[in-house]
Formats: sequence, structure tokens, C-alpha cells
Amino acid sequence: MLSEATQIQLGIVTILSPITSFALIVAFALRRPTLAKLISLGAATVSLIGASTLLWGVNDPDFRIAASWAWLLKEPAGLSIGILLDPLSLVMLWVVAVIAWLVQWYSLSYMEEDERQGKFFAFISLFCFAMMGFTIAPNLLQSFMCWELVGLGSYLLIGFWNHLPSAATAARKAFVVTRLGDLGFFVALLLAWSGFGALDFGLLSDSGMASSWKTTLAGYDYGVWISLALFLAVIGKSAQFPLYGWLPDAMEGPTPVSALIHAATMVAAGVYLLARMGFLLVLGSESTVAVWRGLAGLAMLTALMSGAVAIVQSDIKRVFAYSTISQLGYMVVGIGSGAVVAGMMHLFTHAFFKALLFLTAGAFIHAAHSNSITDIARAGGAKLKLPMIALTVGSLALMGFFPFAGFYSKDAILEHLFAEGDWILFGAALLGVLITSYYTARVIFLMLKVPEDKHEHGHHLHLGSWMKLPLTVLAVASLVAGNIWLLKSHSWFHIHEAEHGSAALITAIVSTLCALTGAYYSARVFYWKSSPDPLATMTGVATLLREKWYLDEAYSVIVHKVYLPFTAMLQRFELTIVKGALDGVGKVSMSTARMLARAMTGEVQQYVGVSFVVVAAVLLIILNR
Amino acid sequence: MNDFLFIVGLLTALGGGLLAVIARNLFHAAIGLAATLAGTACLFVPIGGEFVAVIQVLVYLGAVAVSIVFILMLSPPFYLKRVHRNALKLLGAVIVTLVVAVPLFAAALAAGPAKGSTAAAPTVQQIGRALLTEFVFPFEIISVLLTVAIIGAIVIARDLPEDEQAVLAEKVPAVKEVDA
Amino acid sequence: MTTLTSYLVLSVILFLFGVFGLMERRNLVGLLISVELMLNAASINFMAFNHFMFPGTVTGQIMTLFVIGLAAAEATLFLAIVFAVYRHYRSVNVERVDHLRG
Repeated sequence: MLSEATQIQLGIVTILSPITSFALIVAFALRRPTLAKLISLGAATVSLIGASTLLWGVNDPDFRIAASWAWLLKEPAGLSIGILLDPLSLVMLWVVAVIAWLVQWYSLSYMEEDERQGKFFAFISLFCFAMMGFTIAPNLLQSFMCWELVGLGSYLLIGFWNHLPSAATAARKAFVVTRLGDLGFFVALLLAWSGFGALDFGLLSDSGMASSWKTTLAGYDYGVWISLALFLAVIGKSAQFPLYGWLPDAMEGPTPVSALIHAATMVAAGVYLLARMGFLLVLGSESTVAVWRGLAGLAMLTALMSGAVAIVQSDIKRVFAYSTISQLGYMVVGIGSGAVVAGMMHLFTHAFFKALLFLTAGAFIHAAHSNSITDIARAGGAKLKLPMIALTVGSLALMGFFPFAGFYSKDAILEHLFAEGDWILFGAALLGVLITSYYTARVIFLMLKVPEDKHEHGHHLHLGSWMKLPLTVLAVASLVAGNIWLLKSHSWFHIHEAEHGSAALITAIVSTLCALTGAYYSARVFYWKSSPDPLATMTGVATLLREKWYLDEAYSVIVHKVYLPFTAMLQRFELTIVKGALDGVGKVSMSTARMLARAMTGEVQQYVGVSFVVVAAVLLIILNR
Repeated sequence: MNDFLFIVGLLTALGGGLLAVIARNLFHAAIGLAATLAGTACLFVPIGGEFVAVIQVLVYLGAVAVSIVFILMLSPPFYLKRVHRNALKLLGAVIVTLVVAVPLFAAALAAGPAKGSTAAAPTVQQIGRALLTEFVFPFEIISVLLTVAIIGAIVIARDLPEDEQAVLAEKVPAVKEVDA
Repeated sequence: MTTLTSYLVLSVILFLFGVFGLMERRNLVGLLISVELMLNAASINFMAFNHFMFPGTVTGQIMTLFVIGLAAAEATLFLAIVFAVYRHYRSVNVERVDHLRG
């Protein structure tokens, strides 16, 4: 059992390791790929060891070590930075550290032909620092700063191949859309500061603050306002409707980036933030709880919408991107409806199997030099053994089949909805399970079913050597992560959700049935070709899905019809009024000067006369004192 | 005796002053100035300034007023021309004079009661001693100043070198009717 | 008759004559004459104060002597300037000398 001081030091080392890596690479190794890789992976190893040591040493749900150092103001105003080590943060930290390590190991192969590798690893290190800093932030301020920094890292990495205009556009889109969400975070910060004078999570979640959270401000209590503000941030960062348009486009970045950032960590930051603020469900008023339920509803809608779009994607990464949006929706549903631990569990398992799926996709892409599923299939992708196994394992986990990891976490959420009697959400969630397995199985079947007329001459595809380890590790994790969680979660969290015996069995059976139905129907359509594609007939629906519910068009309309005219108006205001005022000041001085210059007649007698009068006046004043 | 000198001096000074500023003919003005200076010298005597009175006559009257008359002699006869009166300028002059008059009179009339002039007038020896002890610095400086003034006057008033004269001739308006 | 006040009033009147002349005259030499009037009035002031307020001292008279000397130097330079002005403007009308207008 490590001492508290040692744990704090370990935490600090874990966090500072990636930023040191970033600094070192930028200073010495931008053009020395081997050195950069060494530094980066070394730092990742240090972080992994640190995070693991810290996590596996926790055996008490009330474990909490917090240390802050005043940065601008002392506590409780909380303009300080520091670390907060409790089971929630350590679990997340561990997930980040593991995935980051595996992704970097994988990138040794994936990025080997890129000449800007040094920069890549530098950016990944920067991102890791930001993500870890966010995870163990003890107060809203550090959370926010690292949240923004994470967004920066995402921008840099999405647009890494900056010679591609599509990548640059995607990076910008991601940054701007999430920035809109960040506005919400900032508002929440301001509200907390002005309302309570404190930003520290420990202080905010203290039971004594319950009354503060219920104080009203303009008709609604603080709990409601701050929740709504944070929801905006979560919707942006975790890609819920209507701010999810950036995530599919973010697939323009290298696949390791997609795996790390847009599957396991950054997009999960929103979910983590919700979990962190989960005390509001306890301390907040009924309206606060209702608002959280509303978010859950929105998230369920997102899950269904994005799942549907995933059905028609031909780019393998986009299938998984929409799948991520959908699964994030599930996590938010879990937390929003009160099952915070279940939501976090899904985050935990999803990180592993989704990262696995992305890295697998990357292996295929790297081998076949194309993102399209049919291209990969034609090139003989199915012949790559390890990736196919990984794809199968990951898909089974995603579809939620026993005993893979996804089964336990998805079921936990479904159980909770069932037990709460929330039939609408429960039904919708089951529908989502069906859709999920439909599109997931579709990928496998399309890979297996190579069109007969086009057999490529079977040139050998090879798997990158560094890719083997991560794929294997993640495949194993996708199998056992659920069990690990069930084993350890009692020492991490207070499990309020009691094990509903019969409910658990019912939901397990029902959800498995749904998943099987989806997979079976998918097989009929894509593998055995015994059923026609349902979307071939429902052309209207098909168009909607292909156009991604016209979301990007909606963005475009809003920007062009609302935002740009508004800025144009402001610019006109600036030019006419502000500039006019400034010019006016100049003009007034000029005309005043010209007026005064008329007094300069050049006639000496006038000058003398004036000075006489002035002196006489002064004399008068002096004499009268 | 003192009163008599005072009256004479006052009348002469004021009369001369009036003539000096009113007269159209500058010669008359110069005469007026001379009269004022003489009257002032007269005024100095009753208050123990005999030495200064003499110096006033010698230097002021004898040098300054005379040099003014020289210049007037050497210039064209302006007084022969009829000049248009500028009413506005006259008004301005009157106003300025009146404005300046107010505080000056106020100060003059507010001067405290004079001590009796029982003490003896300063003697020339006293003045001489003061010039060479207490006031030796200004005394020496004024000689420097006079030298500089002479040199400066020569520099300002001398003819320009040949080339600059040609340049000047182009810029200067043609000789026309001079006016006062 | 010879009181301080009468001397002071006399010097003020003389000074005012000088001011009026300075404002009204157009000829440069006329200006000079007015200025000399003002200086003279100041001298009377000095002498009067010396006699009536500080008998036994000699400072006022010394001042007057210096004023006379300075007036001489000033008149000299003034007249030199009249020469230079005439050369440039072909006129000794002070209203013509307005090149610093604007």
C-alpha cells in the first residue's frame, strides 16, 4: 500500500511524462523518427506503469486523494491546478494510458512510411497529456483548460495529413463544432464561480451544497442551469445530436488517431464529465433530474439516428465512426437516467472493443490502401487472419453477445432502464441493439462475400509487424474486460444498482435475441443474399440515411443564413459606427485646429495685445486674493 | 521746490507721452518722446535721483532719442501721405488699454502709505560702490550685452553678399509707394 | 504733492500711453517710441519705490540705470531690424510683416 504522498507523486509523474515527451520531441526529434518513437513510447510506458499501479491499489470506493496548488487564487475560489485521485479518475486514467500505449505501438507500423512521423508522435504525446490532465482535474477550471487542449490535439491530429484539403476541412469542422460546445462548459464554469464561488469538485459535490444547488436563478435552480450548460459541452465533445457532424469527418485523420481519440478517449471525455458531475442527480432538485433524463432521451435519439446511418456506409472507418456516436449515446443514456456506474462501465468496455475495431480497420486499410469495404474485400482482406479474428471479436463485443465485454455493459444499462420502468427508452435501446448488430455484421459479411466476377490476382497483403501485439491485446481485452470490471467494480464504486436477479436474466435474453435477429437478417441480406436489401425499396429512407439526415446541410444553412448575415451586420456596424466615431474624432480635431489656426494672423500687434489682456486678467486675479 | 519740479515734470511727461502716441507726423512723435524723457528726468530730482536724472538726459535723450531722429531723417517722408484710419484697430487699442488699466490702477492706488523721506538721498559714491560690489555681475554683463548688441545690429543691418542680393531681388515686391 | 501714490499713478498713465501706442501705430519706428515710453514708466516706478519705500538703499536707482542702458541696446537692434525689414518687404508697415500667418 503506497503512502499518500507517493501516490500523489506517482500521479504527477504519470501526467507529466507525456508533456515531457512532447517537449523533448519538439526540441530534438522532429526529424529523427526513431528517436521520437522511442521517447514517445517510453513516456507512454511510464504513464501506463503509473496509472496501473495507482488503479490496482484501490480497494475502497471512498478512496480519495486530492492535491491542489494555487495558481491564481487560493481555495475555495479554486483557481488552482492539481490532481484528484479517486476510483473514477483512476479508471479513466488507466483506460487512457492503456489505449494510448497500444495505439502508439501500433503506429510504429501504421505511420512508418510517413516522413512527418516525429510530429505525429509529438502531437500524440501532447494529446495524452491533455487527456490525462482532464481526467485527474480536481476542479472545473483545470477540466476546462485540458478539455480545450484536448480539442487542440484533436485538431492537430485530424488534420495531420495537411496536404489533403479534406483533412484540413475536417479538422476545422471538428474544432469549430466542439468549440461551440466549449461555450457551454465556460458558461457552466462562470455560473459555478458566480453562484458558489467554488470550482473544486470536492466542494461542489459536498452534501452541504445541496441547498446551493437548489437555489434559483431566473426561475430555475443552479442545478438546472449548470447541467444544461454542461450538456452543451457534452453534446459537442461526445458527438450527440445535433453536434455529431464532425465525428464522421474526423475519420480523415490517421486510423490510430481515430482509435485513440475518436473512440476511446476524447469523445468519452463528455461522458466522464457527466459522471464526474453525477452528484447533481443526488444533490439537485427534481427539475435537475428531469433535465438529465431529457439528455438521456436526446442521446437515445442520437443512438438510433447514427446507427441507422451506419447501415449505408461504404467506408469502413465511417461505419465505426457512426457506431461510436451510437454507443456514446448509450453511455449518456445510462448516466442520464441515473445509472452512472453502468454508463462508465460501457465507456470502459467500449474503449477496448472500439479501439480494437478501428485498429483492425487500420490494418485492412494499410494493407489494401483503401478505406472502402468492398475494395478491401476485393483485395483479399479476408485472407488476413489476425485482423479477421480481431474484427470478429470486436464485432461480437459491439453487438453485445455473451461472454464478450459489450454484453455486460450494455446489459447493465438495459437492466437499469427495465428496472426503472422506462419502457420508451428500453424499447428504443433494444431497437438500437438490433440496428447495431445489423450494421456490424454487415461489415463482416461484406468482407467475406467477395463478388465472384472480380477475383484479384491475390497479391499478398501483409500485416504490419507492430500491429500484431495491439490487436491481440485488445482482442483479449474485448473478451475479458467485462469480467474484470465485475470483479473489481465493488472495490471501485458503490454499486447502488442492486443485482436485480430476474430483471438481469430477462434483459439478457431479450437483448441477445435482438442482436441475433439483427445479425441473422444482415446475413440474409449480405451473405446468403436470400433477402433483398430493405433499403432498396424504401428509397426515401435510404436517401435520408445516405445524406446522414441532411445534418451537414442543416449546418450549412445555419451558417449561411443566420451566422454570416449576423457577422456581416456586425461588420457594418464596426465600419460605420465605430470607425465613423474614430474618424469623427480625427475630423473634429482637424477642424478645431483649423479654427484655432485662424488666430495666427502673423500680426505682431494682435499677439501683443492678447498677451497684455491675459496678463492683466492674471494680475486682477492675484490682486483679489 | 520739489513740488514745482514735480508739477513741471508731470505736465511735460504726460504731454509729451500723449503727443508721442497721437501724432501722425513721426517727427512730432519723436519730439513728444524727447519731452517725456526730459519730464521724467525732472521727476527724478525731487526724489533724490539727481544722478539718475542726469544719466537719463545724457543717455536716453542724448543717444536713444537722437538715434530715433536719425532714422526718421534717413527715411522717406511718410507723413506726407494721407493714411486711412482703421477704426477697428483703434477700438482694439482702446479696449486693450482699458483692460490693462484696471489692475494697474488698482495696484497703484493700493500701495501702502509711504514712509517719510527723512533719509538722505543716495550719493554718487553710494551708487558707484553698489555697482562695483553688490551689482558687479550685472554691471559686467551689461557691457557684454552692449557689445553683442552692436555686433548684432551690424550683422542684421549690413548688405547681403552679391549672390544673395540677386535672389532677394526676385522675391521682394517691387518698390512701390511706401506707406507709414 | 510728491507722494508715492501720485508717482505711481503717473507712471501707470504713462505706461498706458505706451500700450495704446503699441497697439495703434503702424510704423515700426512709432512702435519703438511707444515701447520707450513704457520702459520709461517702469523707471519712474523703480525710482519712486526706492525713495518712498526703501529709503537709504540704492537698488531702485541702480535698476533705473540698467534700464536706461538696456533701452539703448534695444533701440539699436530695433533700428537694425527696421533696415532688414525694409530690405525684404520694401515697407516699414508692421501690418505687412505677416509671413508667419497661418
